[in-house]
Amino acid sequence: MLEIFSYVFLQRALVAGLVIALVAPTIGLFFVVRRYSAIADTLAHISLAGVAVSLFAGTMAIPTALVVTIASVFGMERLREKKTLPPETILTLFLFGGLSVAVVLLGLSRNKNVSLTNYLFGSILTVSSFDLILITLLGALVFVLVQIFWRHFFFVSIDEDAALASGLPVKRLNRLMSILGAVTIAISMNVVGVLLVGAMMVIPVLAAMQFKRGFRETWYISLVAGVLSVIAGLFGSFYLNIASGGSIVLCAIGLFLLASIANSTLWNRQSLT
Amino acid sequence: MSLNKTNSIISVSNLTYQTHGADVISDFSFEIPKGAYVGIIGPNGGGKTTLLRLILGLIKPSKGTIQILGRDISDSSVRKCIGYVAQRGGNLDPLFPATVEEVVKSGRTPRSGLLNSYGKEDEDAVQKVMNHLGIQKLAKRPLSRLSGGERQKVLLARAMAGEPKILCLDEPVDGLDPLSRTEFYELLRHIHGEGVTILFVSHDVHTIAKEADSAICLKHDLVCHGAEACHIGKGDMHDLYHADRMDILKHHGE
Repeated sequence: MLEIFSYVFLQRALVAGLVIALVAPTIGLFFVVRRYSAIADTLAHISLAGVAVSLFAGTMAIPTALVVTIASVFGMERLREKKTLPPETILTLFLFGGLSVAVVLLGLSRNKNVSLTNYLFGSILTVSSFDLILITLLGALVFVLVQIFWRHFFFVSIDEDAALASGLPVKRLNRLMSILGAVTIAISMNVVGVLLVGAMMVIPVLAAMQFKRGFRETWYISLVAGVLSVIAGLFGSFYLNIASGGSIVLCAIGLFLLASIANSTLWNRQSLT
Repeated sequence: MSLNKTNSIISVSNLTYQTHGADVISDFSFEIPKGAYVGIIGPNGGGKTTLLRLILGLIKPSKGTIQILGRDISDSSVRKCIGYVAQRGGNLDPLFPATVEEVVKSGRTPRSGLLNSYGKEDEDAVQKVMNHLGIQKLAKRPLSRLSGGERQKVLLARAMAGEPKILCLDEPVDGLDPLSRTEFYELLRHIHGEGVTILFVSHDVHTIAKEADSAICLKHDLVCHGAEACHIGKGDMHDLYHADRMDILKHHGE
């Protein structure tokens, strides 16, 4: 059973997965509570364009995806601040824009089939030593920055008008939140895959929200859900020989269902007593 | 109480706000002294909420200036002395996973530094304001399990946790039952007694007459009595108490 740990690439995948399990719900929590979780999917598709740029230009995937996604964040936030378009349509615009750029560049790229599937669906084989260092450092950076700005992000998320009225730099905080989301997605591509990376930011949080606790407690529960999903998902990926992204996200959905059932049972008991 | 005093906490000068090419507020000037209890009244579409949002710095004026304690409202540091309570729970999402205590504590965020976490001073201030407003027993309750009245009290507590000099409220009792309304205004009166300047929007002239010491009256044609605010003293409002609210607005507008 524990032979999984004898493979170096699996050790790397497990460490990378655990970093993602801690970072993705941490920033995802703020997107979910703001009902802005669609941004995760948009950023993921833009990061796919970044991967396409890297395959086309022969550069490294994660740093290139990071640059492209962060540049897009500034564009999205600028449009959002103008308030001339509904926020969800801005996300749709950038989602399809990112996908279109990816399709065009991949069509022009000679080595298009080399690793695209791995980036789309996630593969534990793609995590190199360099990737692991990058994932760990950037993941730690996101985690620490969220802790520093936790109170500010909370206030902006629960009531943007009140935060602005009290003098908080709401525009800058919104941009920072989106940039941290972009970084999280760029570092999660290898393990979870571009198409499913948004799920790791959202589903553990949704599972935690079923317990109807406070903000901090919801975050703690989402971390537990994230870690359990990654561990179970990677084991499943290894022993069943399936894509790691799908395996991890299916485990997260399983936890969400369990949490929903536990929550409804708990509430039914409380209402009976 | 006259609104034009030199000891002003809010100074509005030649304020104009336009949207879609039309004036919502036109060349409007007034001053609010420290410690005033002012109601903003007017019919629907009269620009009450717009005026409040301009004073809060949530929207920018087309022309004119707004100063808080002698500093322009665009200076974000001056806004730390303003507390804000929105209409019907504002943007508070009932599904937002937060407890009452967490929400109230967030009112301390603008006062604390960037790298500091909440300290003992913050904890004490939060406990004090929750005790003061009688919501201590709700501290650990999630937002999803609050009534409308309780939610408004939580918003008031959050605003007060920041120890504001000015408290701005937009139709704060809209949607509440009569008992909750009375209770809420009693709390406001108590807060005012502690020296906080209160500015609140209401479309109900009876409420303004009963609660506020003075009023800013916005006309339905979106122009505020020439270049001046309409200052109605409390005595005036009691005289007008039994009149139809539109008559009152017309009376003071013409």
